[in-house]
Amino acid sequence: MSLAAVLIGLFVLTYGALAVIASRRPLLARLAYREAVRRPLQSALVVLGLMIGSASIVSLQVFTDSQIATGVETANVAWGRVDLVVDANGRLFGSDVAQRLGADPQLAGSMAGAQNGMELIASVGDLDQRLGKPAVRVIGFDPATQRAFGAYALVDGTTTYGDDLPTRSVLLSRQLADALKAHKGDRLHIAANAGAPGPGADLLVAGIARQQGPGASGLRPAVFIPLATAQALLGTDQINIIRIAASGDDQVEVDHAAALTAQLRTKVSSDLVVRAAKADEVASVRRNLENNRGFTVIISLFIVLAGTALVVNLMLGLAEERRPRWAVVRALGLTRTGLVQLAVLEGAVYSLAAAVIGAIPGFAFAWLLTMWFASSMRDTYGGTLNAQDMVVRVSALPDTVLASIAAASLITLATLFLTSLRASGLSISSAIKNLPEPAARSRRPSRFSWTLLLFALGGALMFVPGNSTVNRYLAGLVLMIAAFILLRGLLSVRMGAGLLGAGVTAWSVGTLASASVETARSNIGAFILFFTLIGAVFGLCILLTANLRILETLAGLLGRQRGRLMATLRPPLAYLSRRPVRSGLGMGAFAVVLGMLGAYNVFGFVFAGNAVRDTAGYDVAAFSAGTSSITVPSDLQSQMTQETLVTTRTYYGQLNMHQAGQETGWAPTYVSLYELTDAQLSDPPVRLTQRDPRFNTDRELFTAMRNDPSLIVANNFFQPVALSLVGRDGPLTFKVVGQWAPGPLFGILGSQAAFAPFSQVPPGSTLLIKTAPGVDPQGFALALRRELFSTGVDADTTLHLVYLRGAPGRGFLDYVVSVTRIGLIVGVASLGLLVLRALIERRRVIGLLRALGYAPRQVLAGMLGEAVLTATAGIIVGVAAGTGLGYVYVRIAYSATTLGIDWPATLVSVAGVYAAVLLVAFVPALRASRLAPSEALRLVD
Amino acid sequence: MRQPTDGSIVQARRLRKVYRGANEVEALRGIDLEVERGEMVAIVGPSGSGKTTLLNCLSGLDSFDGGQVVVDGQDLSTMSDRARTAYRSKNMGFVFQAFNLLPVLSAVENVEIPLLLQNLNSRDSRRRSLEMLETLGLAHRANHRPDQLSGGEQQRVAVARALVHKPAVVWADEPTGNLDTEVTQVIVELLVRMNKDGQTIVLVTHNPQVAERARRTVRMRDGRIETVARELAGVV
Repeated sequence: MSLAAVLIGLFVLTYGALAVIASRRPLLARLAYREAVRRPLQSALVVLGLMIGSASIVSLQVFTDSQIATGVETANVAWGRVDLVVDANGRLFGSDVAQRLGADPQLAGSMAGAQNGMELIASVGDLDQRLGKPAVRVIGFDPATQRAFGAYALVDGTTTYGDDLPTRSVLLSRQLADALKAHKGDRLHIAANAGAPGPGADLLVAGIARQQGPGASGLRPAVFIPLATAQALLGTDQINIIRIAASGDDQVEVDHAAALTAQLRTKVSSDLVVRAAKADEVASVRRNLENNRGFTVIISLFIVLAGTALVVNLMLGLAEERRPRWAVVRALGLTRTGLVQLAVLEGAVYSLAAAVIGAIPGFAFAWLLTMWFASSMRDTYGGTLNAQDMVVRVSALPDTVLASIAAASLITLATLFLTSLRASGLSISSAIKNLPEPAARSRRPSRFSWTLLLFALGGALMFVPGNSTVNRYLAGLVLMIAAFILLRGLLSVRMGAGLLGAGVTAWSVGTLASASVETARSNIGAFILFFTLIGAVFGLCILLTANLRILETLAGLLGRQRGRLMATLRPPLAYLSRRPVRSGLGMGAFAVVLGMLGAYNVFGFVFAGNAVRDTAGYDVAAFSAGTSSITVPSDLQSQMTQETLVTTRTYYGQLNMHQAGQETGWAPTYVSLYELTDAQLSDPPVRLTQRDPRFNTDRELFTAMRNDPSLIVANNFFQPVALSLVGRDGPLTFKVVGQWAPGPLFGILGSQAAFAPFSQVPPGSTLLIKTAPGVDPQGFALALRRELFSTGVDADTTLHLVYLRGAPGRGFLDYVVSVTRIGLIVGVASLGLLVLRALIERRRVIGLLRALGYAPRQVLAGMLGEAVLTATAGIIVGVAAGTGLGYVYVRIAYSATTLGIDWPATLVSVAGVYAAVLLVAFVPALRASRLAPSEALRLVD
Repeated sequence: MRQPTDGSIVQARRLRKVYRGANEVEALRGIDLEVERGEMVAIVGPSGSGKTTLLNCLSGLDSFDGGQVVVDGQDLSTMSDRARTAYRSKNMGFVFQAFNLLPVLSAVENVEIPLLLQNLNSRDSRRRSLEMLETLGLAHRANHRPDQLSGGEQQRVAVARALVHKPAVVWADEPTGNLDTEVTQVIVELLVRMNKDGQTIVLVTHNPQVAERARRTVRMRDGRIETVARELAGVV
């Protein structure tokens, strides 16, 4: 049974039970209803607070659905009508196979067409525009069989299957046309090969294809070229791919493709591989993005936790306000259970309303996040997709939406239930007169507490022998909380809470610090960081709350000189320090979110790039896909001091990632393989950001790579322990022992021996250049590009490449920061709501203070001060915990990384929080200051 | 502007107060009242007669729609809210039915508030507050919070807070309304003792036993003063 079904089932059961209670106890239902509608504005305020959690859950889940829908649709568009491919791992083979398959009567029912094709990587130069582009995909298609795969729609409004193209002419994808500024009629030089460098050929641009149907193929810069012309480029009559289109649309197409895969494997020779290309990519995208849901859940948990803290705070406030009325109904004979039922019935109305209404802003934010995701997909496709060609799907699956609403309602309701349990233990006589609750007679734990304690200890002990770090961590927390309950009465509350807070914080930091590199880098590492961060935040909150009296002491020192200042500060400080639960919850709502932000500010520093490190001292990089060398023209030679030529093979084939016994599955991928000579391994052209802990230095690691061809360094695969690629003779697996930040080199580094099995992949080259002092790298790159455009050589400054290729990493951080901003809104909204609630709850107190002579500005300053102090405490705790734990985590997981904190980002966040807090707190505080004392004192509730 | 007092510390002339809303209610209909310095006056009357409204207007807690209120020579009707607030903090003390102590402050901290508002430093404020609590027999409860005090103790703290800054007038609105007979007696004795020491006290009460301890009783009905009785006028 899926989690969604469980949540929806629980929701139905819970609300069903509440409906039964309401029908059997109509008085309670009526009272709950009347309380809910008695003060519509106040109820709206409560619903607004509760909405935050549901909005965040709905937005992040809908976003994940939309990510998957967008990813799947993008994959579908990229493959068009091509469902399967047959190839020989990049080698050429005979062109008779497609014809045989097309004529096979057994395949006729499920196959719409089979096409001989050619797939090459080439360097392309536009001789008229004098611009070149390396690593362009050359797609050779057979016009005779193109009808089964659809027509190319050209930007001039015409369509073609290719059979009417003039001789030696080609179509360009719009991305390539944009990159080359190419027009119809331009002359192109294409240098392509299939194993050895070819002479290249000059061709004509016959049209520019829109990104639809076959023109969208691969969603990358591409040249669509009739098969005969492509074969002529290589001087062969063979092919290297067969494309198969299944018949039917949508699910019928999928079913036919699956059937064809099995059938074709029996009909082709053993040296040919049949791949369900479209289905595999769709499955891979779906699987990877579905895996991201865990990450999304973690982030939403931060916000939900912040929202829950707000809910508890709101409910405590509401209970305080309702106290006299609840005491009356208790006096009239309502049991404590009845009172809890009354509170939960009322809360059920709020939580359901909040969950349903909260879905609306949730959808809106999901839409925004999906737009962000779509733009990051552009980066995934090399930043070459046009905005108008983006495939974006905002998907809200009914079960996701219902499950999100159910989860939000249940979390709120459970919180309400626990809060009402606490509030129902009121002293009737005191509460009726709205007098303070008498102090508890005994602080010794009740029998219930002992039982609970025993359960907690038992549960904790069960976890301790386990190997799971998370379980051990949680068990430690349970034991500490149990000890705190046990020691209640023996220690002062302040001492007990202080010890608990310090213990939880130390345990959290210790647990993360003791994690192994492997654990930290694995998926579980993110969970450990999440749990320990939450633990540290709440530990510090408890510690700080228990010691807030220090603030009063400081205020007391000020008061030695200025009594009026003391008078202004005392009530807000007392409300903060002497209602620790509510203060702790208020600051906790902030601290949780700022903790996440603090941690990501550390990651931001790590991933944001470092120009000196990531350029490895080179100023310009030039690329060519069609030639194994790049010769710098003699007139530019004098402007450079050093060059390093790295043989680069652009691998387009299947790739599988392995980690901790799991694999992502084979999926088609483009990746550059950089073959380093022994000399280059001694003086590598990259600086590592992460090393296998076995190696203490980059030099040690590269020396090991020289001796062991199974070791590689990769930079666009975040955490895998191993990568598998398909070589000339079949799959090969490499161990990833290091990582470098994206820059002029972007792909996989290995020794010549490591990449020898990929000789079928045409060699290209990357030339790294150090310019002479005083030479402008940008001008040098442009001059190089202009001089070598005919061979398709592209050149750019390394700084620009670091910026461009760091885009996905920055995009990821932007995403996290975007989501964190929801959390910050939660925190700020929490404080705004709490100040509003304080205005309602403390009317009498405000009236009294005004009667005693407090000036309106003192009331205003007091309420603003309380909000600012709560925010400050939350910020201190959050930034300290987030930065500290982020630091510890990064230190373990990325041993070679330069550590640091993105202070500007942190300071901007903090300043923004203060501005927002003052903004939301000002209006209610102003209203409070303007309360007429007699009115406020007259008010009963 | 300071007004002549003629021995009176509080003077109300033709005081009018109207509560506006769906049904307009004239709560005070041209009240004339004088309170002598050092006097203890009880305002009595049925619910809705305007007792608390009168007290609120006389003490500057509420604004009024007509007439004049002069307290210790200061005309409240001409004062801004800011000036009235400052005047209240220096010259008035309050005791309420629901005690109205700040729940998050201890007894001594509650008592300190009026002194701190007068910018007295915290050390002197604390000393004087403790002395006041000692006078009222509450020194041992100084650091307790309201929820740790009995009703009588809370009201004694409220009285201490009302008296600590030696105000010109103490205003008490049903000061014994939430207390039992025994504790009521204690509070009344306390107020009487303070009055004998020269403190002017104006209180609103429903309780005849409380009212009869005042030197003068003002009986109100429908926003007007019905009778004024002097010295132990038990009939009112």
